[in-house]
Amino acid sequence: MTLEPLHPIQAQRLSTMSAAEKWEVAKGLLRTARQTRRAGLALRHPDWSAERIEQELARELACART
Amino acid sequence: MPEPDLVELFARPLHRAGARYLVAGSVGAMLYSEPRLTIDIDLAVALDEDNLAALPAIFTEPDFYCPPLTVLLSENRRTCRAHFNVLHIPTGLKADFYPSQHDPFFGWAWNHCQTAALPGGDIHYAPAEYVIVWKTAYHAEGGGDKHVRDLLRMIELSGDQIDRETLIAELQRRNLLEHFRTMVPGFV
Repeated sequence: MTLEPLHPIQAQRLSTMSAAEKWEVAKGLLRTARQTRRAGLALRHPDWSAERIEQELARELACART
Repeated sequence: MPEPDLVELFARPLHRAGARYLVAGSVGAMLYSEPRLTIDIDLAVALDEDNLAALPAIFTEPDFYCPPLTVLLSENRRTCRAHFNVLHIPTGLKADFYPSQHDPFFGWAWNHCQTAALPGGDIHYAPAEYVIVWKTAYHAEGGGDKHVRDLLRMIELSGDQIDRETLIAELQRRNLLEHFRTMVPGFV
């Protein structure tokens, strides 16, 4: 397995970040994923209600990956 | 530290500035596939020198690292594989900027972009065909299972909306069609 190289600024910051800070970053990344998928579902299914989109989003997140 | 959001950190300021940008890469793929986590966002951009000169004022110190203007201008003049990074220092999150104004496929993508309504306002996402072509190119160069899985999920969930003629033509133009067929057998 080959890892993508980190930018030196990324590497420096990640190596000094506390667990709480990493958790905040992770929550933000999850928000990016949720909002992008919510928008994608709305574009794909313009006839779906907000509730239907949330149901599908929840199903997708249950199967999500990194 | 507020919860960071790749789109809000990096794409939103470009949108507010009226820049030509497209969210591509893995975040772009998500619009057509499934949620997944990534710490980078790819932004294909077509920026003039005034846009570039404004970037350091958009992504300001000390929260952001933005390359010096000389680097931005130098990369922006490259006709092939132009690239620079902008980083959000507190979170270590990164945006890969790909100046693409010399790429006719970017022009096509801009005209076919998907504008998504996010809570903070509209954001321009690259069309699926554009995301697929570039993921195929990166995989051809460096491998990576994530690109294969991104493409397979995009085809599975949004394949019926993909313009196959455009996709084939662009993959052929870049000598990537056979490689794509090894990644996603049977689609084209």
